[in-house]
Amino acid sequence: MSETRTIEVGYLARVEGEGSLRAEVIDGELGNVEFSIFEPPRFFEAFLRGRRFTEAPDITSRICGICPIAYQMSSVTAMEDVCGVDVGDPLHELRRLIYCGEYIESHALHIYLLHVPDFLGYESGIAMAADHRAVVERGLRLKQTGNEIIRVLGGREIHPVNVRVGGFWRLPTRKDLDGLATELDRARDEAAETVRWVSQLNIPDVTRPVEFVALSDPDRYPFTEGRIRSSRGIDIDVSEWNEVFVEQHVERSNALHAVIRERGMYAVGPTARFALNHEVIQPVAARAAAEAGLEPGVPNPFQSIIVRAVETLHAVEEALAIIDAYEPPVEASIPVDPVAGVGHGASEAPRGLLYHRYGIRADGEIAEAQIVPPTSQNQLSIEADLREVLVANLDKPDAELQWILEQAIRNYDPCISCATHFLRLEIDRG
Amino acid sequence: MADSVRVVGVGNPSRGDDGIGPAVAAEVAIRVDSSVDVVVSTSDPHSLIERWGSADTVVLVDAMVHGGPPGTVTVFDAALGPLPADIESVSSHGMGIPAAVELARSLGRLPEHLVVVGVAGREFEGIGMTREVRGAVEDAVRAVMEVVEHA
Repeated sequence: MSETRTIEVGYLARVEGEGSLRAEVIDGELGNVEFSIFEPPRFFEAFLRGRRFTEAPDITSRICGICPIAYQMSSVTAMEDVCGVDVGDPLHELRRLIYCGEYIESHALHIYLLHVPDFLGYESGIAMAADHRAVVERGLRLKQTGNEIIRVLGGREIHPVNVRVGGFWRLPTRKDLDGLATELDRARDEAAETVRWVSQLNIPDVTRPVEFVALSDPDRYPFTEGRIRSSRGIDIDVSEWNEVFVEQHVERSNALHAVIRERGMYAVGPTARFALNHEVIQPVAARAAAEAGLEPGVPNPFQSIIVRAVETLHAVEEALAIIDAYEPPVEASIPVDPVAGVGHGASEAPRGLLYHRYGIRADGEIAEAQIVPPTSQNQLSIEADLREVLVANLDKPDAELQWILEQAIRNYDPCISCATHFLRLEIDRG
Repeated sequence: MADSVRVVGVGNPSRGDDGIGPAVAAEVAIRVDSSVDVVVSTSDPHSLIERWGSADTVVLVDAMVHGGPPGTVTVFDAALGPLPADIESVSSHGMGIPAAVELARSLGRLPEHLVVVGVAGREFEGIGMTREVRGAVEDAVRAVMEVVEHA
């Protein structure tokens, strides 16, 4: 008689959105492993149709409360691509600044309240806070610094409203930026301490070679810049995404799974980004990474927490550099007239590559929209990690195994609400 | 009346009954003097801890997903124990107001007196509240004033 052991997490905590995990072990052999997304589909691509091309940044930013800037930046970049507009350096620098804010707040939240509890054996950030008060306070201050950048540049912390196709609605004042610089000066030490702190965590020794994909630029750590490159030789313009990658529907998930057409799964996110761009990260962050023993390209998904800390430090330094060199743009935005055609935009959300493609009509109405968020690109890689972790830990009791499996999912900081925006719902009525 | 009292209306008027927090805050603002600070927050729950600052008494007003028939007003005193987990959250990423309050408790950053006035909602989409929840504004305002006047 065969013996089946099932490990099931019906509702994953400390991830954004609704997902579950199920793994089967039959007679000591690993069977099915499924990371399922049951959050309902959200149809953003459908209700963008018929809206003005200028509305895309405000509509898509509603996909996620934690990374709205990523959606705004990918959408404005795509719209400016189709309309043949370049906003110029000063406005581009402000866009980088607000993106720094998103990295700081998103990474600080994930590191301190969502992921570290796994490493230290706490069931939640709240439970951890009771024993590690100063540490959690540091994380909250860092997060608040990121939020403040978004508030100043974006008008408010959640779902900011100041980003528009062509630039911003209102420019920050010098006084606004000086206020941010004061906070960032303090955050610099806290971010550096964060790298040292997470590098001392007990990082499980799990490696699984995977193809890393990210934007990559020879001059700057990418937010919206560069080409899409991979660790196995992909090197394409953003507009070629659909030629190399494809989204597939999988029955168990309400999110599409993106794969490389020729060879399947890949991974996006901080580890991929750092692997492909470590040479252009801020020098302070590069030194901190080296001191932490972080080697670019090492495919240990559990090291992602260290990369997030390094990127947080990078974002603090980058934000300070942008404020220091700031020359106000002549205007808050440049006029953008609609042009019939198709445009592409990509940016590096905290969780990885976020690709947008829009078709617009001559009158500026959106005819079609495609949005590929990081979590839908990472689903297969998450499942492959889970198999690896399971095989290495099958001798452990269920509770311990469940713990490390959930920790492995959080390596990707998955944003399930982002991943379920898709349109193609299939109903089989027999 | 103590001079460090803050009322925070939490919620988003574009999310149906989640607009109850701002609606109650607007009404309370008319009825209190300048010693009571009334603010609206649509920001994430972590920031709420900063939002109540150094006030001795804080009243949070928010919608609840459960909590009885729509429009039911329930008052929670945070000093008496953890809040029920099903008070509606305006944010994402798995942390709502109850978790933020418990995080503040762990960090020793709860104000001396923290009261949450929860109003059970029915619809959390679209602009405008349901009839039941609109009808509960006055009850919720009275619950807030009760705390403010005894602070």
